Amino acid sequence: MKKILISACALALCAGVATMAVGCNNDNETGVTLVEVSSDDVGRVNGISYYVVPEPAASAKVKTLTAAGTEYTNVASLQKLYGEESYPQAVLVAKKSLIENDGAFVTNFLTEYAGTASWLETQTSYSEIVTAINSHGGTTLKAPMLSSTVVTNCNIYFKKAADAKQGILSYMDAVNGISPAMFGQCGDDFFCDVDGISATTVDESKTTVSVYMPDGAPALSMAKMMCANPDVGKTLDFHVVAANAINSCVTYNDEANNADLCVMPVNAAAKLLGSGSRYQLLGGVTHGNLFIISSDGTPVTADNLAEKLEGKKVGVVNLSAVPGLTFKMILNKYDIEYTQGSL
Amino acid sequence: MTAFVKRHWLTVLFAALSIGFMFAAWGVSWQVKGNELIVPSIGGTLSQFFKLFAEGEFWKSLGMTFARTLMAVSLSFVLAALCTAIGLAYAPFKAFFSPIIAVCRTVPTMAVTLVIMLTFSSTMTPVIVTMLVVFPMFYAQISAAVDGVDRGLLEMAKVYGVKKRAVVTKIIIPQIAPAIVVQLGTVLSFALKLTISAEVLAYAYNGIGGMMKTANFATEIARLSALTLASVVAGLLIEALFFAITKISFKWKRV
Repeated sequence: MKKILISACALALCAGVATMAVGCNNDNETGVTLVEVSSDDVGRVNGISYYVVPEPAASAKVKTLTAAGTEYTNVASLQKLYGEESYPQAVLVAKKSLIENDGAFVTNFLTEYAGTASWLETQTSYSEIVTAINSHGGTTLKAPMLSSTVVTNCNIYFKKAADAKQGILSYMDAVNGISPAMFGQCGDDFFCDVDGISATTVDESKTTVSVYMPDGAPALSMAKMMCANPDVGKTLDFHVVAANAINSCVTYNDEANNADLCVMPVNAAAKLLGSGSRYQLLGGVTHGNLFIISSDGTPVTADNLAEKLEGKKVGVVNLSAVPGLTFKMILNKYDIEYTQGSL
Repeated sequence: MTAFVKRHWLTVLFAALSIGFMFAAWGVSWQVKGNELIVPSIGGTLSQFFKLFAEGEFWKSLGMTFARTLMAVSLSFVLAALCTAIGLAYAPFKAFFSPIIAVCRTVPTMAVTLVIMLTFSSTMTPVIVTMLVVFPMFYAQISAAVDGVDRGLLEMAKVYGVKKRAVVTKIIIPQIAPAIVVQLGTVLSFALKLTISAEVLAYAYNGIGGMMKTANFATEIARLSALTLASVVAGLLIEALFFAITKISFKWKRV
């Protein structure tokens, strides 16, 4: 009986110590508490009135939550809070061998690709775009959730590497200050001199060029190339892959398996390809598509950001990835204290 | 003696061959895939694995994950033992409890995690998810062990008028303890795996699952692999520990 009592006490002690250890994770009550939420949880978690969500999901959420009875609005743009110019988010990289051996194709491609922003503005129906993206690997985008406002919010336009370089380096420094593992460093060779590409070099042996991109705004950035099918001198083989699979499309040991052109997050591009020996950055593609949505209809601006968020829990989709780091960077910019909490 | 040595040598040899086979399969996959972000190299993973030991964050996270696992397992064990005892004393309770256990056993863990996340904190969600899976396992194991108690001994105790307390402490518990302790090691190891999965799903960053998620976001796949290896080693150590406890504590009974 004594042994049973001792065993029971030991078990109770274990449970007690474990409870204390688990329970000792109190959230800070001052400043802002950042909480990771999935896209599905947005608007459904008690105690959270502000969510940081990327477009096009942000507008879709506002629409569905409002239809469900709680009026949500888009109260702030992280791009505007960031100030100056919006931060880089997705970039277009190309194999160095492609740039060197087939400058004519790269020039043609970029000329057409640069017209994407104006092409998107002229679109009135998005079903063709969604069908095109779907036919190249599938997408979570739905035609009804796209509108001219949503597409504008995605901030899609091509900015040449030389013009985007300073913005990327500043953003990289700021993010590295929060989490050095996310970016690493990249050299000058990583940034391609797009205007200096020789438009006369042609690689006749290469007839098809593979283009990889993650789903979402980066896939929308290729919509014109998929739908309008402009003549760029080669057959374009598009692949829309899941966001967590895009990085592995440029890291095969056998270069033949790697994407010729790839749209990928700026941090992953810098970290994996920053030496510029295998790939070079052609330019920025999406320039910040993060928004704060809330059931409190008051717009959040640089002037009232601290006051609005003080003592609040903010749900962030992908808190430990670029969206979370960007939001932390903005909070740092406005000297707002934050802690990482739990739901 | 020769037979004993031969038998153990074969066991060790085959265990070594099995480990060698797993590493060979890993090496071949790495070579065939040729992409560090899909299958990281053994060397890179081992290098990251040993680096983990120097990180304070790793030990803190491991402690937190262990605390969650221990909490879930302890509570489930006590609850399962209590339910079995009540079921023994009052048979209708067993019937009442059977459907609840069946639901707990079959409900999809992923769906439960997603729902629980909305109600409980990300710190507590892995504990509750683990409990929901482990509790029916314990209940089944304890019930089966109790059912397996020698009925002859119980009859004899009844004939000789042995007190109920003595029947429980001198006959039932000594008979069911070895099987339960062995199972406890297996369940703890399984619960650790489950807790880590729930941590990943529930965004519990202060745990091994959280470290895995962060490594994945930072495209540090070798680190992710090293964390996986660390959790496998931790699980194996738990099982080995409980196996040793059983061997030492219940020498009188061959389990």
